[in-house]
Amino acid sequence: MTFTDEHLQQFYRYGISLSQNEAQAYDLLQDALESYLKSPPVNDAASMGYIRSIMRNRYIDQYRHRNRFPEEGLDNIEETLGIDARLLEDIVVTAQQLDEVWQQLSTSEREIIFLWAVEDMSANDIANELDMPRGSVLSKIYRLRNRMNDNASAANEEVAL
Amino acid sequence: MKSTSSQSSLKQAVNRKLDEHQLSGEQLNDLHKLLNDSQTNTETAGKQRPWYLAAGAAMVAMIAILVVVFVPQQSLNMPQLIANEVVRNHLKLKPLEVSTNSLEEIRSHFDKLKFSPISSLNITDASSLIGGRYCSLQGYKAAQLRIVSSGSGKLDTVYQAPYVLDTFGKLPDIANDDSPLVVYERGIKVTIWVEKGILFARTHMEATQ
Repeated sequence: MTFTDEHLQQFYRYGISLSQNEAQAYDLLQDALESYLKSPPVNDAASMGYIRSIMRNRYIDQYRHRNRFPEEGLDNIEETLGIDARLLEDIVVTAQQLDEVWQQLSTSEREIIFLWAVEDMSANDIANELDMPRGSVLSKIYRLRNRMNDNASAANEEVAL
Repeated sequence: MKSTSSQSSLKQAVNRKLDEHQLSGEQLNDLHKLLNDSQTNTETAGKQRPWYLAAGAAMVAMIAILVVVFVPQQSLNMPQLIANEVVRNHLKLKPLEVSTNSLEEIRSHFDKLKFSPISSLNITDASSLIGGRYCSLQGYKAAQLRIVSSGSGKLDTVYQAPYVLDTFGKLPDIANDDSPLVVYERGIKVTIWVEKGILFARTHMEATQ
């Protein structure tokens, strides 16, 4: 597959979503491309997801190595009933609110937001991409929505005061 | 980082935030060089391989051919992959980011694309535009427009994405008087064509009997 500038920029933004660091995002992308070139997938059309997968695994390896990758508990499946990525659709934020919340998000939450907002994936698509149970994705989306709403409410209260 | 007090949807705000991060021209050049050099090295190294590696490569090639022959066509067929992505998102009917019947307003909304959305000579049934939202098609940032078909009265989805030959392969081009490619996905007809360098993919929902 031939990668255009737009592809590379998209991967880079994915790296930013994971690491929140431009230099590290670039390193992740470079490493991922090298791995991809050594063993590209049989199905060319799967290359985009394949490279994101290499970047994610590389990032997790690095952080496990430094014992900094946050371990997250198992999700409660009961709280995911009736939840979908559409819950995020009706949220409105200012750039400042997003900046504040973004700093508080875990790596996996930023990754889910990226796949939903930039790659336009549904909860099922995200679960497939991340190879995790759909319930876990939905649970994270539910908590994410609550956090975004809490932040927006707090901002509105400040304005009211 | 600049902040604005104006509110927007979370999706738009995230896209804007991440769009602030761009690879520099130098970094892009380095990555393209990495990709191209590796390809050249692979070709050069191939000439120096001993016979057993060549035999191994031949065996791998044979297996690859068998895979191509026996793997279901859908997984390797780009038009089908396009139709799959378009229909999947068409059925979701996600909220529009901009609601308008004006192509000018559509163009000004989709200012992050590498191209400007156009009207198509292939959509001649006076279908009315009702709006659109950002999306992607096979990894390329694209416009997902929604129209009401005058024929069926149903909502249809029209994708417009940059046409990249290497990725999408050869597709019918209206400039050559080609007819659109017709693909069916989940029972929904999808037509695919290229017009003025833009890849179009449109769903055709049938009128209720």
